[in-house]
Amino acid sequence: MDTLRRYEHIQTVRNEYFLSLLQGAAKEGIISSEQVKKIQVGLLGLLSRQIEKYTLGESSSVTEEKAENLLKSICFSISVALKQQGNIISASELLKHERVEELFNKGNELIRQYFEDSKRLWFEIKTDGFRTGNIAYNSTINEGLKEFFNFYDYKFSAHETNGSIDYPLSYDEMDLKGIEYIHEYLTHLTMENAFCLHYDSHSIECLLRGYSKYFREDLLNIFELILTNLLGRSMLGYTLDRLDISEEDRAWLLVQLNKVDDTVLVQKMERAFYEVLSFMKVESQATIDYFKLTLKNIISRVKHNINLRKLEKVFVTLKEGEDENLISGYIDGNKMEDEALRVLIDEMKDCRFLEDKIAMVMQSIKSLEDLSEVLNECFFEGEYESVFKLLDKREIQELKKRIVENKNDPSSFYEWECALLEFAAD
Amino acid sequence: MKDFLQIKNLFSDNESEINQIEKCNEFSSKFGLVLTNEQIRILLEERYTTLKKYGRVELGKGILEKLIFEFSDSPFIWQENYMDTLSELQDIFYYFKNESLDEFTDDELIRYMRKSFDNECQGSLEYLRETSLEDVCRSIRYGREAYKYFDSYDDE
Repeated sequence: MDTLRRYEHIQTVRNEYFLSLLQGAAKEGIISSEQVKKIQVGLLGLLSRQIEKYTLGESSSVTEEKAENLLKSICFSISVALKQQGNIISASELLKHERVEELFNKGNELIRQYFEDSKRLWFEIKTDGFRTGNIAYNSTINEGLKEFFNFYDYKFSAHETNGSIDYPLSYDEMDLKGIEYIHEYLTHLTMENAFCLHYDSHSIECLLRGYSKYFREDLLNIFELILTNLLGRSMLGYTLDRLDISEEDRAWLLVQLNKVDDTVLVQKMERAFYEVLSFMKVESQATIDYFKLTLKNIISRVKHNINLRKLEKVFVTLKEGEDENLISGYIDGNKMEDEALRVLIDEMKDCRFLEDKIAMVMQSIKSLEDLSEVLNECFFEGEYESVFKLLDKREIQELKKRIVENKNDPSSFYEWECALLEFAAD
Repeated sequence: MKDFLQIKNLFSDNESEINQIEKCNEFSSKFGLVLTNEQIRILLEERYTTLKKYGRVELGKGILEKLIFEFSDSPFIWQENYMDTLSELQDIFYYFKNESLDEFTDDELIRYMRKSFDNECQGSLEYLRETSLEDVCRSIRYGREAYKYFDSYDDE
């Protein structure tokens, strides 16, 4: 009990756990100033060794920025080792008695494990069957995370989170860095995807379209939209195997929720939440805890929108696409690596015969994005139509859509873009 | 964290560094060059100021020892200008580590400095700083790889 009281004042920060713990423990007198000095000397020794490793022993000095970065990476690894203890008491004891070198090595080992586990989660997400047309989701899974796993450097920049993670989770404090952030992100995304997979992708797309006509480009969280509608359906007494909420349902919800006070509203929504969880058979406590954070957000959004007497963006009516077959659901093929595309473009520029260029397009180009680049650089007036004839109706429509959506001013169209619009009009 | 990196006394032992440089006198005295303890102390102090000035961090032993071994037999250095030249060379070294975007290893940069100093600079530290090295570093910043300079110098 005494120990608990001694440690209870220590405030730690999740993304700088080691330093905040050290500062707190020193302030409370748990770690003496002699021990703090010993830790500092240990850190400098580690830094010196890391500088040597980083420069392969070929440079005795580095820039301040680099040294700072290396030091941050060291502190990150030590933080990971200390956090593993689970609570401040054990972490402070470990910091007191273990050498920083040992902590650093332990941290690195844990980071390696997190890395492997995160990679496994990423592969599972890629193959879990959840498909959406949302660009942020797809680019995060296919490009952003790939970049992270390709370039993550746990030895010298363990605290860095490279790769663009655009798709927003329903709840993300973003107070972690490096592999810790990615591991938590992927763990939570797995929970969200498992939830979303109870519904077919068509219903989900209709829900997203109902929410925003720019649902592909918008930074929205799919799980939160589904959960909110399910909460609405539960409060309406509907079954939870579907997602739809009609305009009348929404009006009824507004009346019902408007006449109760905040406490009752929270109770109603919590009851609905547990009904949804039991329908989904969610049993993992970690998942329930995470979803509860989302529920909190939803409740405050509902309260706010009730005051505005507008629930359209909260409980969403599903909307079918106008020309489903032609426009939505188009999934572009694989893009070429930049360098390979550059080589292909150079080769095509050297080609004198249109037939050869067409053959090269047929052989190498698999995505509309690459095709646009090639059309822009390698083909001339009079040649475009031969390329367009290679495309099916869906692809022509998609290309047309991209041109029209991306540029407002027709005078800024490239030559091939004008030709395509003409071709599509025929 | 930046302040933490400036805690020089926590890690470096000044006395042992002075002893190390003192030992270099055995080698340089063959060329009539000797540093007094006071001069060594000044040079080491200058090293910290220089590192701070150029925003660099060095936790191991400095570059002075390597400079002494590389430059002692230069015909343009004699006892009277020995300490001042070392002081200036040390400054030039750290300055050009930054300017070359750390593309040169320590040994490569020192070797290049020595060759330029003896050849085109004819012992002029001003020429070394403002012309010879400046040109090389500018080319490196424009994308030329550092090792090409050594190949071309060695060919000559």
